Amino acid sequence: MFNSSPIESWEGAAAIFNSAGSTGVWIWFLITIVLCIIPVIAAIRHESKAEKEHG
Amino acid sequence: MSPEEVLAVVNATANASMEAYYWWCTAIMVCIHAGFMMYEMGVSRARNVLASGVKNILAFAFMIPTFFLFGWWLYWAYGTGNIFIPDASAEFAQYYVPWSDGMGPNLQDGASGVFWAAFVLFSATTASIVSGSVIERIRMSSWIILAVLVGSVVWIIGAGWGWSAGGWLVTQWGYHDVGAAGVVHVISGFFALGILINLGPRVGRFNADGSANDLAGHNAPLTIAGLMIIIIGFFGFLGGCLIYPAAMAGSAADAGWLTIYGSPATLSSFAFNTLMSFGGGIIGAYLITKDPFWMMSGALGGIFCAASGLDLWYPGTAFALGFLGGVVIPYSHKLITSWGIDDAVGAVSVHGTCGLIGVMATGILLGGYPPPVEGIPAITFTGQLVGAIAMVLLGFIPGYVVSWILKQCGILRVSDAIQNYGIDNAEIATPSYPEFQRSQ
Repeated sequence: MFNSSPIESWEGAAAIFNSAGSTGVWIWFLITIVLCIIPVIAAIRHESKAEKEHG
Repeated sequence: MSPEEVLAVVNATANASMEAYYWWCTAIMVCIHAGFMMYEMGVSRARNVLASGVKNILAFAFMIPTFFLFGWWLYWAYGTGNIFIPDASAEFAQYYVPWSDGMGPNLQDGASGVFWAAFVLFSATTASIVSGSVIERIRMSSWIILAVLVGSVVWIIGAGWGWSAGGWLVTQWGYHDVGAAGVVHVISGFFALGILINLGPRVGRFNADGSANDLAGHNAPLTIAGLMIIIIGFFGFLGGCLIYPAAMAGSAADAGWLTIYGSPATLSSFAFNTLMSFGGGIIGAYLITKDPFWMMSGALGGIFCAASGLDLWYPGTAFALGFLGGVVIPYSHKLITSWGIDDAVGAVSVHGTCGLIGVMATGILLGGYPPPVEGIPAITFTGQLVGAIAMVLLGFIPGYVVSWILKQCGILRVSDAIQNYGIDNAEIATPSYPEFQRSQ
């Protein structure tokens, strides 16, 4: 995780983002999905609570 | 320097200027969101103002990761002629899967990120268009789901169909829509209509006899200023609809500006016709309403009436189309309201109706132009009609179906009690106008 560089030299480098070309990218991809879903669930719970209190 | 070195410098400079062009179009497009936020907050009553603002902010925010995760891929997977099933084997669909080398910093590819960014802003614009119509009674969670659907799925499929050189509407029907009147505005307008049918009106909007009450927003100047700022943003949007000449660097050096379909165009034509249709829209709406809200809505709708053919209109024609849009919008909104549908900002009329006018005007008045490339049909009335119908259905059906599902789950609409109490009061911690008494 701490050594996520995909390159050893800038010469001829292409993809330079952390974990490019490795399974690390998949982990960050999954994290992105989860971080999109959690707030929607949180919003549903927040609205339901507001409905109970003020509805 | 050797000729090869000179060519390398020329290509590097051309690429950098092309990338900078789309960067600044993207930045200017943020004004669309600032403008929509101001516009919708102004149209809201004070007790719901911050909820409307949060809705805009979240729509923009959620477009970004979802367009990264699947939206950009969908464009390329639907841009090779497929209608229903995405073509995962398409060259750029494979290149733009979100875990690929092209979807991040890449020293051999300085362009993908800026193109992606411009499209993100198109997506966010599409969602923003819908957000105004549903203010003051849609639940935030459902709104996020619907915004992601329209912004990162529905419109981008439409763009693959009709706003790419290889889409089936273009290659089979000669569909021409350079400024995305159909692809963004018809889709978003009719998506909004699908939601509104299930969402229902705001409390107090309609009486038992079906007559409508005007629920005045709390800040008309904010609304009107917001609409003007949206216009600034649309210069970025429409500029981003053109292919920068240097994007073709290394191939046809004299290609010049191109439309998304590959036909020749000029920034000059967009300048003429955007401004003329904008002016026409304001003036047409003034003639009918004398109301600054409809005048500025007419400005937007006027541009959409000319958007499909911005590359080809005589400016006087663009002015007339804009004028027509400004005249039609209030009547269209009145008709929709008479159906018992509460479109809080007239989005269905401004975007849906004017988008349709734009698509069909192209078919009626722009026949006979040579196609962008050999083997593709020229512009025809039938081709534009097929495109218009496709965009209406692509917008309406998902909007209606998914909002119906959310309604059955009981999470689409804010309860009447909270509407009366105020969504801000119930759900937002920050007071909007702490020194003034909140509206009842």
